[in-house]
Amino acid sequence: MKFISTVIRILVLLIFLGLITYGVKLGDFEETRDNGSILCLSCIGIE
Amino acid sequence: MKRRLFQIGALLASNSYFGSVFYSNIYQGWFKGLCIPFMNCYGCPLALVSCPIGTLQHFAIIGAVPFLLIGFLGTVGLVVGRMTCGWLCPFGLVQEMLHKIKTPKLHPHKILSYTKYVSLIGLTILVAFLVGEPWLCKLCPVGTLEAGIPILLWNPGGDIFTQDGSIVSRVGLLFYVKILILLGFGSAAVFIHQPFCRYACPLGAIYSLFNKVSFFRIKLYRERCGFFHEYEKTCPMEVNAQQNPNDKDCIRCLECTKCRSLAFKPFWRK
Repeated sequence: MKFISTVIRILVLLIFLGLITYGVKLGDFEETRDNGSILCLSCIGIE
Repeated sequence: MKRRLFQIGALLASNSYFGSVFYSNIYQGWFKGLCIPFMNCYGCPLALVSCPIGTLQHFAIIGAVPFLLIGFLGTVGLVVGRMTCGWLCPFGLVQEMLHKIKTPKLHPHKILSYTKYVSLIGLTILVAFLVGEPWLCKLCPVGTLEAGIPILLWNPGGDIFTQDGSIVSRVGLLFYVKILILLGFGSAAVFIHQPFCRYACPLGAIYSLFNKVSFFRIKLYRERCGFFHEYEKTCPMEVNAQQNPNDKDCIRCLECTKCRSLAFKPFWRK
């Protein structure tokens, strides 16, 4: 039982790591950087 | 003490762009492509990295799936569960400090902790997707404390503030609403331990899903200690570790592991 749960956890971890790689390939990193580089003044109540 | 050092270290590491002092601008370089694993507003003049919840809302607004963010948060959650809430989050630190003020303490019913899932699914994802605006950011007390107030105090005149007039003169109603929300959570923190983390934090809601299945977890050894109940009172999230040591609300502060009956270990270790 412990072996199966270990294998499942490792598989899920690999899926998450795969999502990171896939996201980087799709340009998520650049999208995050561009979004984070703009100061949203309206978000802090400055009009 | 060790945890305090981690919390202060995380605060400094994620907010160390001192170039804003000289250039009157926020950081726009490579590190902003990275999300940190805790709540930290990237509108802070000193912010070096991006907020995962702000990023999640941005992707909801543009109608895209944030694969990188899902992978990152999933990896962190699967390895340590909510540990970043207890060890790294600066807003958690602020709430903990406020809770040290000596007053009678309140213990709201545990069922209220499900409201953080409403905050995650409703306000963070659905509202952003349907309305096209990051309403969680607009109401977030972390943003008020780390960005709203510092920007007003900073009051720069650089590239990003090209409109005429000072920033103070452009403060709108939303800013006062944000201040009220911050004061609400701040004053609640005096009476209730970490109310934002318990009832409102969308990031805590994501990590909480992993507490029961994470690689590192709290293990209970009933036979080792007969005085466990003394330590149960030390749990800031009021988790009954003797019944459910990996409860969804546990922030893995590890205060309870001072008792020999509890240990923080990888799940495969006996």
